Amino acid sequence: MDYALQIIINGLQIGAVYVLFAIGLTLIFGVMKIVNFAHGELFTGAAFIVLLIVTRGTASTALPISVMYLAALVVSIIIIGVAGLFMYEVLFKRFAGDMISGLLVAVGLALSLQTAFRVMFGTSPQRVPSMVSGTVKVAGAVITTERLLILGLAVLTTAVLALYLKHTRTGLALRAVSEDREAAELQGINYQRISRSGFVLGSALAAVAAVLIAPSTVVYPLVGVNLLMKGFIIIILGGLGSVVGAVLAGFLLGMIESAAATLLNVSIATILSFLAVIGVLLVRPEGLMGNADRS
Amino acid sequence: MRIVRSAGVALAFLAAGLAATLWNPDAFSTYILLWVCLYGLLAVSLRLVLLIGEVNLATAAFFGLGAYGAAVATTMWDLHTFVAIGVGVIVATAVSAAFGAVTLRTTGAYFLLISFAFTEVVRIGYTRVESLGGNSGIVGVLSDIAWLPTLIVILTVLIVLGLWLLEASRLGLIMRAVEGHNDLAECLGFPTLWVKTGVLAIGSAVAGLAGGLYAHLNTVIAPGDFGFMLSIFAIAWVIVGGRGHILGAVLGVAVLFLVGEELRVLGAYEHLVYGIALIGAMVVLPGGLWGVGSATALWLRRLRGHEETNQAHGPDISVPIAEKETIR
Repeated sequence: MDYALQIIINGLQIGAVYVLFAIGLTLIFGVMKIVNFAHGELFTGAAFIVLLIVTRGTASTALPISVMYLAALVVSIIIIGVAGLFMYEVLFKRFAGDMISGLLVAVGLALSLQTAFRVMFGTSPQRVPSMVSGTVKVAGAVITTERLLILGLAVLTTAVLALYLKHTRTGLALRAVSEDREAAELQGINYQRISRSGFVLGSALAAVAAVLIAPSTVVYPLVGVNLLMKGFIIIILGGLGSVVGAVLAGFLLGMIESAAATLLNVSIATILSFLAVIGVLLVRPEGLMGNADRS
Repeated sequence: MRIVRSAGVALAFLAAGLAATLWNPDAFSTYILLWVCLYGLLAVSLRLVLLIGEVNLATAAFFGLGAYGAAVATTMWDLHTFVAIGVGVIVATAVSAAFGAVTLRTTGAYFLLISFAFTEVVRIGYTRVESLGGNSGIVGVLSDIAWLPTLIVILTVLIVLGLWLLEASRLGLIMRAVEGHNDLAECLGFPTLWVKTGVLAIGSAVAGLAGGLYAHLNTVIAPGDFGFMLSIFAIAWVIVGGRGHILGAVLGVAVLFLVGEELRVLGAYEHLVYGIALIGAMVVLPGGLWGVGSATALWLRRLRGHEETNQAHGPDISVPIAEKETIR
């Protein structure tokens, strides 16, 4: 029984962070119809920022590690957000709506950034210190405090984001553009401004995901690419451009992975999740929450 | 006229390739030529599927299936190399037909992402199967054919010529129709799903053949050789070389492979070369290197006052329709 609970809580924690990463991908796809292969590199960049601030900060000052994490969160959101804005203005703006060209530019950017990270930080995986230590007992299951904290923060971020998309003008405009660009523009929505906001918001979410994942994994130049594969599976499973779909599919993938990792093997989890995608596509080619009209 | 000319071009390539592999089989330039041939096959396979408007990131997976199929046939079943490579082609074609029949119901980003995931899943699958050598792969894939390098050159020339003819054929026209106007093609009574699946299967047969040849040339294969990065490289070859013509894909392989080899001395900067070349091609040269060449040729012809273009010899269907409109 407590075994099952452990799997569920681990799955929720893994899933919650996947959700943050995948919402960024799906938002960018929704507004620009670009599959951002460089999303993984935004994540990697933020993970390295966390590594630098937390390890250097704790070594040179006496401040508690939680303060360092807070600083890392703020700094990485700002830097990665600005990097996203720069990428949008210089490269992606001109390819909005052109899936193949946008994809190729994103791939080129991803390859270049991977090399840059390797030159700057080396290839060996580096460990980031934990946020908090210790464990808690929840109904008989032993859970690390850190997992619970990450889960809480990720769910909080997703909730704030959901409220933002539902109740603010920019959020509504983002969803409108994502559903039907022309109709949205006819309503007077400024496409350029909204797609820029979408891109920057998506980038910032990659940074938040990185800050939350960093303490429970190791950081190396290809860490983002490995996550990208999972992000892709989630956004197809959920339906491209659908935020609700990404949330559902993200938690589903987290559960599959947690169960498979405990009971079978981690690499089986990837194969299982791919089979889930093929199964869903056979029944619903547009994904769980996708729009039937994908033109 | 065009057929005669392209047969001439094919013969010239063939003669040069045969001369290199027969007279100087151990030279560095022959080594380069063979890799350009194998990767060239991979690039034209990806480009064929691009003609129906889909980015097939599973090209590397079908290359790998061809390689594993051939390697198993050679090392475990002791079949002759010709038969073994045939087994690889059959495996790649059969799996791609099944994969296509399910996934080509989707288009665009969906197909792209599924083909990406498929490549990774197949790669992870190899590492989990002990009889396929797990992470370390299969060693000792020895060839019975002493003239394997020559065979690689001959097959490459024949296949590139064959695909070029396919593109100019009736099926090529249907492929264009499917690419631009899938629903319209369906209304005209073309079985679009089967056309797409067939095109994917043909492309994958080419990739599988390249894989089988690769396994026997290299004699060692491992799961890591067939990751999605290989598909990404194939995209770069096609785009940087120019997607308007089949030889553009081969040109892209030759240029990027040579630059990559030169830079290998400095360290692993291959990815940076491909990354910058891709961004540069998209932003500065959307027609790729081939596009620059054909634009220059057209300009020179105009300069000399020759107004007669290819249209004098009937419709020129080897130029994509969109490109033709801009030329006029």
